[in-house]
Formats: sequence, C-alpha cells, structure tokens
Amino acid sequence: MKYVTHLTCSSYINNVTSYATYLALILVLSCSLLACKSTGLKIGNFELGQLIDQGVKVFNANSINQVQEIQFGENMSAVLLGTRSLYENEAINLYVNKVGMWLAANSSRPELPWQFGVINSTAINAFAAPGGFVFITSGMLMQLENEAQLAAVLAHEIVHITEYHHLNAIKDDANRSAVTETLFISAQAYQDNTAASNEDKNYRVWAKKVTGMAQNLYSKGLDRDDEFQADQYGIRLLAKSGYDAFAYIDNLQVLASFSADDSALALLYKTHPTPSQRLEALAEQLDKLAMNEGLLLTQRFAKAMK
Amino acid sequence: MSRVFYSYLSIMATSLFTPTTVLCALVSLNTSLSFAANLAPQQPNNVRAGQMIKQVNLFKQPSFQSSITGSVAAKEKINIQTRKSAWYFISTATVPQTSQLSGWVNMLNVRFISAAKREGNLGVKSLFSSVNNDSLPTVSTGVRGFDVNDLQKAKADLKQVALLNSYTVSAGAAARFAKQGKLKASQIKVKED
Repeated sequence: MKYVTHLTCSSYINNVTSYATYLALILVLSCSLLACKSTGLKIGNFELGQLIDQGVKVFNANSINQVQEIQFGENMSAVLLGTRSLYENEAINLYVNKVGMWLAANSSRPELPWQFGVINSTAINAFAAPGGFVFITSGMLMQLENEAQLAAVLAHEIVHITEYHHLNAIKDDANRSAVTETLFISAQAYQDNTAASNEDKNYRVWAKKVTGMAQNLYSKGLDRDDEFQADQYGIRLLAKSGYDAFAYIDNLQVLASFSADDSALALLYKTHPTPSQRLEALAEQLDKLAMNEGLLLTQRFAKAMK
Repeated sequence: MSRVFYSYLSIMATSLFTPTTVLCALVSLNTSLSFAANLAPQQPNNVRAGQMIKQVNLFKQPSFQSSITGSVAAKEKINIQTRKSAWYFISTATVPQTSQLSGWVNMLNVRFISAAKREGNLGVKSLFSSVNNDSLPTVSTGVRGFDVNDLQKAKADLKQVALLNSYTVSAGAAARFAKQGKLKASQIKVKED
C-alpha cells in the first residue's frame, strides 16, 4: 500500500464473481484498520490490479490481454525509474508528452494509456515498456536540434509497443521460464492477494520477479529484427504525423558520429544494431518514401528546452 | 595584429587606462573585426563537417532528375551546409577555396565526422545565458549515465510511476498542440514496391 500512490476507489466489485466478491469483502474489512484499500487501480481508462490466485504459475505469454500488457509495462517502468529518476522539470516532461501523444494518436494503437517521461541521465538512450510507456534520457534530449528529431526517437519507441516487441521477447526460450502471472499484476494486487500477515516478504517476492524480468529485457535488448522494424515503421509514423521524416536519418547520423566507445552510448550499442547498420537498413525504406514536406519545428523545440 | 599593437601603444601613451583594460578592450575589438571579416560570404548556421561514404555525382537540384554538376570521391572531406528532404547541399573541403565543388547529394551517402556530444542541463539554459553569452551550458551537473550494472541494482519505484502519470496529457491537448505547430496528419504516400 505504501508504494502505491495513485489508487482510486471504484465500482470494480460489480462485475466479478461471488468468489472474488468474498475476497473483496475481506479486503474491505482489512481496510477498516488501514486507509481505504481498493483494487481499482487505474491507468487511463483501464482498470488494473486484478486479483490473481498466486502469481507464481508459469504464464502463457500468448494469452496476455491488454490490461495485463499495461500492468506489465507499468511494472517494467517502475524498475527503469528505480534505476534513474525522472527529470523533475514539469514543462519539459509535458512538452515531450504532447509530442508523444500526437504521434501515438497517429499510431495503430491510439487507445493505449500513453505516458512519456524524461529520465535524468547523461546516458544517450530511449526506452519503451509494453502498454504505452516511453522514456527518453535527458542526455539524448540534449543532442537533438528540433522537434522532428525528438519525434523520431519517440516514434521508434512507440513502434516497439504497437508491434508487441517486448511480448515477443518474453516468448523467447531465454525468458520463458521467468514468465509468471506475477509480472502482470500490480504490487498492490499481489500484496492484497497473498498472506496479509506477511506483506513485506510478499512484496519482495513480487519485486524480485518484476525486477528480474525488466533487468533482463533492458540489459539484453529486443530482437535485432524488431529494432530494424521499429526504424522502418517509425520513419513512416513520423511522416504520417506531419514531421520531416528525414529528421529520423539526420538523428541516426548524429548518433553515428559520436565515438563508439563513449560510455554514454554503451547500453544503446549493446542493445541495438549500430547506427550505421540501421542507416543501411533504412536506405531501402527511404527510396519508398515519397518526397515529404513535413516540419522540423526547430524554434518550438528550442523554446521548450529553455 | 600590428595595427592592434600600434593602437595599444597609442592608447597606453595617453596613460588614462591600465595596461590590462586596454589589452582586453583591444582583444575584443580585434575579435569583432575578424568576426566581421567572416560574415562575407555569410556562413549558414550549423555547417557540419562530414565525409563521403562512396563516390557520387553532385546534382544541381535535390533530385536525381536534375543536371549533374560534378562528382565527389569516396572518403572526400566535405562541409554539409543544409538539407532539403533526403538531400544535403555540400561543398568539398579542398584547399584552395577556388577548387571547391558544391552541389546536392543524397543524405545517405554522407557521414558526419565525429562530433563532441553536448553536455549540460536542460531547462536552465536561460540561467546560463544570463551570465555569459554561450547559448549552450558547459557545466554538467546531470545524473551520470546508466548501464547494465545499474539496472541489476535497480528496485521498482512506484512513486516515480505516479509522478510519470502526473505528466500525462490528453489526446485533445496533443491535437491542439499539433495544430499550433501546423502539423498535419496524413496518409503518407509510399511508392509502389
């Protein structure tokens, strides 16, 4: 409970089975001793915090529904933000959210509860988590010159989400054994549903499962082909949203010009094909793109970064 | 520079100023003089040093249909002046200047020569520019990068997730933001395979 700050009391109980109602009644009773303890965890319009028996069963990665996908993404984001915090400048975070939301609205999954954040780190990188969570480091933001380049970075991450690349990755043999239902429920739901007398220990079990998977995914990165696909679809999303699509190439060329042994780029290089390889793969796509008269929005970007 | 030296002597002769202030004044005068000399022909903003990846033709316009004005060799050092769509306008970095060639090349035939990455803090530029004239801050106080080791030590931070959630904007706000920037969504044209 102490870790969750965005709970809302809702009418979740209405549409669950009598067994769950019984469980909920126990929860309500235990609430009387603490603050109101609801399972109506929400992100956007999605009700999260489902009650799941044990959270330790081997999970079938092919049957993940959208709500579970979002919860998985939130759990992964919690680990990522546990590594480095958000850059606490509201104006810059809101600006990145506006650019990101506009791209997301033009993506194939506009209905997801998209959230964008700037991570406070000198590393040059960007990350995505399933269900609509996208992050760019302040170190990356520093290297950009216009809004179209920012949109290029975000578009690449958005495609990882719209094309379910993380879920593909957890179906891999290396990850499969670590996939349990725990990954798809909130810390709150996990605590509520396991022995209440042993909350801290159970939270640690949840945290261990979740951090293990997130560490694995962010350290090893996604499938190389998925990275190339994110570039291909990303440049098209950029064009579709009215930006100068060639800012995507420009951005990769800037990244390619940085020293390859720069530690700020270590994780990016470990988890992605090199910028030169990505440029080569995009060459074909570029021929297919008709002349694009999109915008760069250099002034608006400069103003937002001040 | 000799002109500067004579000016220095003549001003010093008046003995109204200390040597240091006079020197400072002249250095800044000299800088502004040489800066003025650089203004013609005016350099476009943001010229980047680059290198050709392979030998290609230079085009008069940013299109393969336009006329060819010359060619540049692989590995040739160039200056990238500007971009239009998928084309860079480049000039060769040969010496003397009179033998330099310029024209349009497809952007994928070019790579940038190693650039220093920028460091500093976002959102404090105005603070820095109020105390000196540099538009980019040079002092870095940002949190260091993170790597695999940092990830291994990470703990889930749900308070940060809540903070992230507080920055969310609505689709409507994003649409208004796009309209302000004159961004238009379109079905992009992709040439037939």
